[in-house]
Amino acid sequence: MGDVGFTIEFGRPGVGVRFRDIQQMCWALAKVNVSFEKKNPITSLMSDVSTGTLREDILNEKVMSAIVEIKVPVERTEEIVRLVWEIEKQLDTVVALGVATRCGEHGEEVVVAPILEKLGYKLQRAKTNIGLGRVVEPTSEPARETANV
Amino acid sequence: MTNTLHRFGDAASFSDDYIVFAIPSKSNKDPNALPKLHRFLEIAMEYKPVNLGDARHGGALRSSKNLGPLAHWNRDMKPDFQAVIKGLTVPTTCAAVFDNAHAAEQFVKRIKEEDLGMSVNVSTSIEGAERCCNYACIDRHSVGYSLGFEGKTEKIPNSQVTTLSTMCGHGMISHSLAKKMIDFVKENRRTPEQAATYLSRFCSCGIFNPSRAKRILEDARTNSK
Repeated sequence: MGDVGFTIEFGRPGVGVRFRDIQQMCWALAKVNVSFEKKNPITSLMSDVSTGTLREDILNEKVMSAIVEIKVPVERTEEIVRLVWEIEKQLDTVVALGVATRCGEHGEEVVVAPILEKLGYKLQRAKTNIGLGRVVEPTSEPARETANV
Repeated sequence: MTNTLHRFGDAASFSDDYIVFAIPSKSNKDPNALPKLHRFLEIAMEYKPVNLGDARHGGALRSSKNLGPLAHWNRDMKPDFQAVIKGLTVPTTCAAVFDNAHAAEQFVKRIKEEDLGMSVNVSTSIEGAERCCNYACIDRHSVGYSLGFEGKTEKIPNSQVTTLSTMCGHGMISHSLAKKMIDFVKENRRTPEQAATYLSRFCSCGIFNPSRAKRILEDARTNSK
């Protein structure tokens, strides 16, 4: 509770993006002290995570889409959205924003949605975790097939 | 990847689009993950899904390496749901796609009762997912909103094309193919059912909704010049 996860996806749908465009957003995010998700593929391509700098040799490469993932306190939601708006104007591609947060005790979500609506978004679609997962005891089985979902 | 999150359309356009995912533990701590996923898919069959998907092997309609020109006339267009269930050999993300709220609500309720212990997500309109949860007496755990597309949106094609192509979030359904299918339907060279079938085969997760696609294609045929 109290945190908001952002997925800032570049190039989707079907437009594509060059890494130099992604780097502009990463630089801007790093400048305001946002930390990048460690297990994200884009983060793994950074030569300097603290500044959001990507590897020099891939900057001109083009990919179908790529996602930068960050997590910030809920109080920073508006600041991050406005920052994305500012930077995306300079990019030669499209951006798809996703914003995720925990619901309250009774499944309500009355914190982030009002912020987004105040910013002008009409919330239509979401992926909803219905909370049926449970922690299971570890086994020595090999890791499962990973899926990008 | 959020392969179903950014489907194009307003909330009303998702009234026939409900995707329910089951996701086993990422670290494979659950030795029963595979039978649980099989159970998930088998239960889904009871509620007449329009697609089933295994993120490793694909959906109920798949592409083929052995096609000739005669495929235009004699290819089997029926979705093979049993192939998805039988083909699931490793624990991975599985999905069931429904084209009506009632089926989705009943399925979610049933999955709760089955108590499989796997993470389950519902991807549809916010209200649609809430109704599924209410029907099943579930409190939502978390929610990931789609804020839509921004930036150089002039690079995105028209709404009908985008609505079709974004039903595969991995971008496996090209804008050009979606446009071609719309044109084929408008020219009466293919029925909406056939065109939806062609598009569905390119979605390798099995989360494409052929029922919604058919509606969009039918709409393109009847409501546009």
